[in-house]
Amino acid sequence: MTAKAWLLDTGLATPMAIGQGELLQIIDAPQIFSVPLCPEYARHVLFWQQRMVPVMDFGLRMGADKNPQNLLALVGFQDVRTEAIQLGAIVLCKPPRKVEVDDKHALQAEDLPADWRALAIACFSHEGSAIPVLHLGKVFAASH
Amino acid sequence: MNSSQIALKIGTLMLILPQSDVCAVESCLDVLPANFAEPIANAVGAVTFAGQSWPAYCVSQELNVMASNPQERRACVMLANGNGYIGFLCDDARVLKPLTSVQSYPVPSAMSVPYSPVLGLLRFEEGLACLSDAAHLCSFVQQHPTLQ
Repeated sequence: MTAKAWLLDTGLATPMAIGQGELLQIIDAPQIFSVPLCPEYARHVLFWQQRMVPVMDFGLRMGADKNPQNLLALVGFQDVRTEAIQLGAIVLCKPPRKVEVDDKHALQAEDLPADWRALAIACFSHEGSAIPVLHLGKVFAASH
Repeated sequence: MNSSQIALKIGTLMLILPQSDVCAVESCLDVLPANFAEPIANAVGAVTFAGQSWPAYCVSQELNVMASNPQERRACVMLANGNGYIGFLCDDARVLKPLTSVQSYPVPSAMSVPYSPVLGLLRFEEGLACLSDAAHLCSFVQQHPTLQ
């Protein structure tokens, strides 16, 4: 069985993946607004269709340099607490790439670094790398 | 938000509080060096209001509590904290009409920090404003470490 996924380059050594249906739109250079005191990797919001959307520099969160790009992947996901559909935006270094993943490429969660396991829902092998599939509900959940 | 609000400008930061939380607006010239019997953490000075001297606090536009008062802060709003008052310095303060048609939003989960006095966000003029109230601001400036 195969499934389609989007590979996101957030400035980390290896890309990460999200499900095909989770990517809603690519937004280039939107107006974003800073919110004081928030974690450096999640300090901005944007407004999209009357909704406020948190913007996350996921690469920075996981140890990469701050991403100077203003290219965003708008994603939709189910909130882990309320189960409502929520929106989020992930800062990208370049446009996402669609890949087809076969069951035979599946890896065990133990193949991911420890700090990824809490944020990944699955993992697969692609071009020699272990690619985490993000659990967006956890990524955009409170970190405290 | 059917009741009147007051907008406090602090650099690029716009803080919006219920107008009823602001007891008075004083000039920053009324903020004098503190001379309390016991030092009060984070206070940048003292302001006299209702016949007594109260601590005054200052924050940056990033909402860091500051140990000194930049010259841009020209106003000092008096906020009731349950045990008295505090002075809170800002560039200016203006009363807003009730923001009945403006939607406010909670701070997204991924962005929330437990000690923040920001209770919500809204589009305001050309930017973003942070909603807060006197109780949360007082607690924040009195308990959060200062940025030197």
